Amino acid sequence: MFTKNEIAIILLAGIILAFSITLLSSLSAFFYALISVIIIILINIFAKKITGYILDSETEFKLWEIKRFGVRPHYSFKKSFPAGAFLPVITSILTLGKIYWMAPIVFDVKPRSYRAAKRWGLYTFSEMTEWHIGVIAASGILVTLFFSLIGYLTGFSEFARLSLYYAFFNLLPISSLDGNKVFFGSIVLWSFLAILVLIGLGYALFLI
Amino acid sequence: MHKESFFERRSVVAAFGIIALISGFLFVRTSALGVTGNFILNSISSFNFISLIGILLIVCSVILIIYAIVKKD
Repeated sequence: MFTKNEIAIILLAGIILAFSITLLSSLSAFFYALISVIIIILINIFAKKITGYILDSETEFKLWEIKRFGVRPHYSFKKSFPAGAFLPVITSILTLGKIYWMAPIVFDVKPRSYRAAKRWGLYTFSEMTEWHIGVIAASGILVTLFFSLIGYLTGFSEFARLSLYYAFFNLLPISSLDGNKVFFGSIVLWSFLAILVLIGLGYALFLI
Repeated sequence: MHKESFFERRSVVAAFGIIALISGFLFVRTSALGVTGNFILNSISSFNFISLIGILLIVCSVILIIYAIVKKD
């Protein structure tokens, strides 16, 4: 189900996020954050893989990289900048650990060869539609939110908080993050998810 | 292009829009509840994250309400 590359990326993302969350304040806090983050990432990725499988496609996960930084085509770096690896650490250090960027992993979707043979209502598709890519991305965020609620109800409030942060940063409609895929798949679905995440985040940050 | 899902029904969209609007206004107002005058100037920072969340919720509710109004049956 997972390739060696994907397992390495999950571990790397877990270590980077755990470091940016705790800034190595204590070793026990680092390991608690590391385990929480890896569980959150695994839940998110599993949900997307299963949805991708249902939609006759293969999802491939990789570290978030930025190549283009402007609207015009020539506003781009010569080499891709690994934002997923550096942005969490940079934001965490600049804000003294108050804000930590939690969107290190993005995914690509490839249609399976037999996808063209399957009917989706009146239509058949050989390529992935934006709606289907949006649904795959949305499933990951929805399941993350669900497990955040479970974590809160079972007393793992820190896990719940980290899950909400993960969902929030992944839902931002920029670059190739999940939020962008959902946004261009269906703005209504994106608004639904944004409302759920924002209410949860507001509750977690200020009312608990 | 695709079948109408549960999330695209007018009633569901409108209900969610209203929930978001109410919670958005609640979050926007939370920062100012029970405090007045110099307390705000001295104690509360000019940038309040919870108000930002409230504003974002209101923006999302506007998107959903416009969709619910414009959507054809």
